[in-house]
Parts: sequence; structure tokens; C-alpha cells
Amino acid sequence: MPEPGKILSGSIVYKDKNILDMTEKEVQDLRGNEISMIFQDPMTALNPVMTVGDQIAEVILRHQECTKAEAQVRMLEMLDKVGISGDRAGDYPHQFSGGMKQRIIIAIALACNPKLLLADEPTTALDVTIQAQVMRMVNELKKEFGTSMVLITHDLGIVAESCDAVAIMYAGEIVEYGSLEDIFDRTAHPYTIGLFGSIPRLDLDTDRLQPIQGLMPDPINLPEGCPFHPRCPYAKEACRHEKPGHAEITPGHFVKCLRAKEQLEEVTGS
Amino acid sequence: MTEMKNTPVSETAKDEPVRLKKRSYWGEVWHRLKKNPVAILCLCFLAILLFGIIFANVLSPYDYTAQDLSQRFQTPSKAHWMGTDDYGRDLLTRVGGRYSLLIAILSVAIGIVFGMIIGALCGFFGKGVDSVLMRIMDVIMSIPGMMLAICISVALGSGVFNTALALAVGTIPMIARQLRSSTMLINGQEYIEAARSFGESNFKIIMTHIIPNTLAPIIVQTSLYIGGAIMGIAGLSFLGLGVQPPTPEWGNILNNGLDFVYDFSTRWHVIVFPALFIVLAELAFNLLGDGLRDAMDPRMRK
Repeated sequence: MPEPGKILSGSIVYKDKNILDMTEKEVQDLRGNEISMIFQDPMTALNPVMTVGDQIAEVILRHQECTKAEAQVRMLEMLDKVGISGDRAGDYPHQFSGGMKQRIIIAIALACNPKLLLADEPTTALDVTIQAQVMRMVNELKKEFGTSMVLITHDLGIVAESCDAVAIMYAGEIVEYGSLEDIFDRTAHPYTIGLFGSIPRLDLDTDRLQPIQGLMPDPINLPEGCPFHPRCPYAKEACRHEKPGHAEITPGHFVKCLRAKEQLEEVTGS
Repeated sequence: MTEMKNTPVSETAKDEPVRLKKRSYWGEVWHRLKKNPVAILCLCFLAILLFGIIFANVLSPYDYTAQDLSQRFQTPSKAHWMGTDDYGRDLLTRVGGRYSLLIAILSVAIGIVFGMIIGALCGFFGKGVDSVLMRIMDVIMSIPGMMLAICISVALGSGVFNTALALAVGTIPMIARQLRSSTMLINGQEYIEAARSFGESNFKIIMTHIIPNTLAPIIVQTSLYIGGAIMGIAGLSFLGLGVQPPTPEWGNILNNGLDFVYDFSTRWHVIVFPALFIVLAELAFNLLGDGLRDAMDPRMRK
């Protein structure tokens, strides 16, 4: 956590172990090896004065007990996997396009065969065509390597294409969580409904998009009650005061909303 | 045109792979430096100077301490290209001698090594380390450079290494400052965070990611600092504090020559040549530094 941020409570559990309790050394062994990350902006996530080959080999040498020559072989293998020809391993990042850089970052992230891949908006800096290419590649490699991926994005199209379970976040909290079908077909939280409403549709002739009313609240000064209530079209008096807890409206589909909870109670008749 | 039509593209590509002209970063810098005639001239001059220093024993038939009192104050001639001094020593052998440039390079090398270590530590770790080390640097910096060098060489005594050290102390804070600020800048870059996310240790991050990225301005500065150090050494030796005669050093040759220059028309060479070398060497390093800065500036890159 970078300064001035601080972790006050909670835990990060990976394979039954709390990462926050680990020593710096243990965490370093985990990073890149078990858990690795794809960054948002490929333009700045590569060291400009190191060849891309060296940058991939660096991670392999760090985590795997192998010679430089073996790391080199593995590095060329990874470049091939992400569709970049091996003879470009000696090139510097500025000699590559954005999409290629992102693929190199993916190669670095997957070089040690991690169990978990964190992808922080991996395609926001890329145009739509390249975005499709990169996502297709990530999905294929994910299957090939047997890696789980946490994809952070605001692009619901990408979510629909590559996710199994979806968590919708608003103001730092998960407001709705469920399977892909739960979220897309049985949308329950007003924020999620608003999100879908603001996507331009090809099959309807609309002149204006339907945004969610109002602005994001200041995260250090969140409104009382449900944090979404000032912008919620369904907000009632209770929403102003009561902070909703998670309600499981169908098995595995959780929603943090009083309205959804009420509806659930009506259906079940309790 | 017809031939091209008949051959499938893939086949031509197979037979003659497109040879892209590739240059490394330094190759690129060299390529741009080559286009700057002034910088190349300076580089040549310094190369000749360095060559002369290294092979002085082979190139010159004289020893720099060999006295020949029958040959005092000879004006430049075929036998003595720069003439001789008050003891009949060959001036070219003495002026072209090794000490000025070597001390300058040594002192800047010491300054850079320590300056880079301190700067990188301060910039990377910040907080306490930064405050303590940088305040020490501020103290050193608050003392005028020449005065500091004089004090240190008085305390340490004269000699080649001590003179180098005396001048190095003044360069350490300047380099440390520069490296600190570039380290801080680079430390905020995403690729450092990326390196951390792949489990790299702090030491490895500093050595492989931060230092190489801060090197370009440091190399430019090095060239300028060496120029400054030459002046510093000459100044110290001129005042009698640096390298002592008979060890030849531009400053003390000049100082020595000054005693005899009352007869300028016949003895001009005893001061003109050492002074000329000080000026030319300093100028060459400065102009080379300018050229390097232009060549390394990423904004000049196509």
C-alpha cells in the first residue's frame, strides 16, 4: 500500500494464508510467481532502457532456479506465446506499438506460470481492435496455463466475454456479486441497472445516452446510509439512514440494496 | 513489376528476410554525436591526450624528471617541441604527462560512485535516510568548492590520491542531489511498481531499473565535472597545495614557469603551453558534455 494509504482492517487471504501477515520476503516470493499483474498502461509499465527480452528473463531468473540460458529459452517461448517473433527480443520498448507492449507485459506476467493473474484495466489504453486481440489472447493463455484471472474493468463488454463471476463495485464496496448470468440477466442493484442503461445500444435508435443521475460521491465523505441513495431512482426514506447488508436473492447472487431485500422478502413471504 | 507479381510475397520474405537496421541505445547516441563536428573534434583531442598520457614513456625520448642544465629555457625546437624549463627538462614530456587528467578522472570517479550511492538511497527510500544524508550533503555544499578542496588538501597533505579526494568531496553532493531527484522521478513510474509486482527486491530494482534510467544526465555531467576538476587541480597545484613538483601537473608547471616569465620574449613557452593545455582540456570536456547532452536528449530523438 503506497503512502499515505494504510490498511486498517481486513485480510487478504490467498491459499488459506493471510498475505498481510507475511514477511516482505515471503510476499516477494509470491509476487510474479504465484500472483502476477497486468498493468493498465503498457506505455509506462516497461523499463525504457532494458530490452524486452531481458525484462521477461528477469522475472524468470528471479523465481525459477535456472541458468541464464534456460531463462532465455523460456523467454523466447513466452514471446512466441504472445505472438511476437523471437528476433525482436533484443528491441527496446519504444520500438513496439501499444498492443505489442501490452502483450509483452502479459508475457512477463505469465512467465512463471502464476496461479492468479490480476488484470487492472488491461485494455483501456488500447483501441478496440487491439483490445479484442489482446483479450482473446489473454483468454486463451488463461486456459492454457490454468490461471485464474481477476479482471478489473469498466467495460461490461469485456466482462461478458471473459468472466465467470462478476462483482460490481460502487464507492469502494461490492454492491452486487453473482455469476455472469445473474448480473447480466437478473440485474438487481439500481447502480448495475444504471450501468447497463448507460451503454449505447446498436439495436435501438437513441439520440442520447441514459447516464446515471448525479456525480460520484467524495470517497472520504460518503453519504449516510446507502452510498448510492442520492443517485438512486428507487431511493426511499429508509435508504438515507440504513446501510444495506448483503442479501442473497438467488443462490450465489448477492445484492447490497434495501429494495432488492424487500422484494426478496415479498417473494419468500417472510 | 511483373517479376514481383509472379513471386508470392511470403516467398520473397522467406528468401530475403527484411533486414531492419537496428541500433542499441548507445549506438543511437553515438550516431547523433557523430553529426556534431565540435563534439567529435573534442573527443579526438581528448583521445590524443589520453593516448599521449598512456604511452608517454614510449612516445617521448625524455623522462619527465630528467634534468639537463645545459639545455635550460630552450625555445621550441625539433628536439624539444615545447622547449625546456628552468632545469632543462623537456616541457612536452612534462605537459603531456599523466597527472592532471588522471587526477581529474579519479576525483570525478570517486565523486560519482559515492554520489550515486547516496543519491539513489535518498531518492529511493526517502524519509529518515533522505533527511540525514541530504542534510550532510547540504553542509558540504554550503562550503565553496575551492575552499573545501584547499582545506581538505591541507589536512590530508599533498599527493595524487589526496588531491583527487579533496576535489571529489565537493562533487559528491552535486551528483547525489541530481541522482536523488531523478531517482524520485523514476521511482514513481509504473515500471518500478511493475518490477515490484514481479517480486523484485529493492536492491535489484535500484540496480537494474533505477540507475540505468538515471545514467544519461550523469554521463553528461561527468564530462563537465572532469573539466571543472582539471581547473580545480590546476588551481590547487598552482597554489602549491596539490601535486608537488617534480611530479608534473599543469598547475604546478604553470606556477613554476611564472617565476621565470619576466623575460617573456624568450621564455614564453614555460607558461603558454601548460596554460593552453588547461584551457583546451577544460574546453574539450565542456563542449563534449554539450554534445553528449544534445545526443542523449530524448526530445532530439526521431
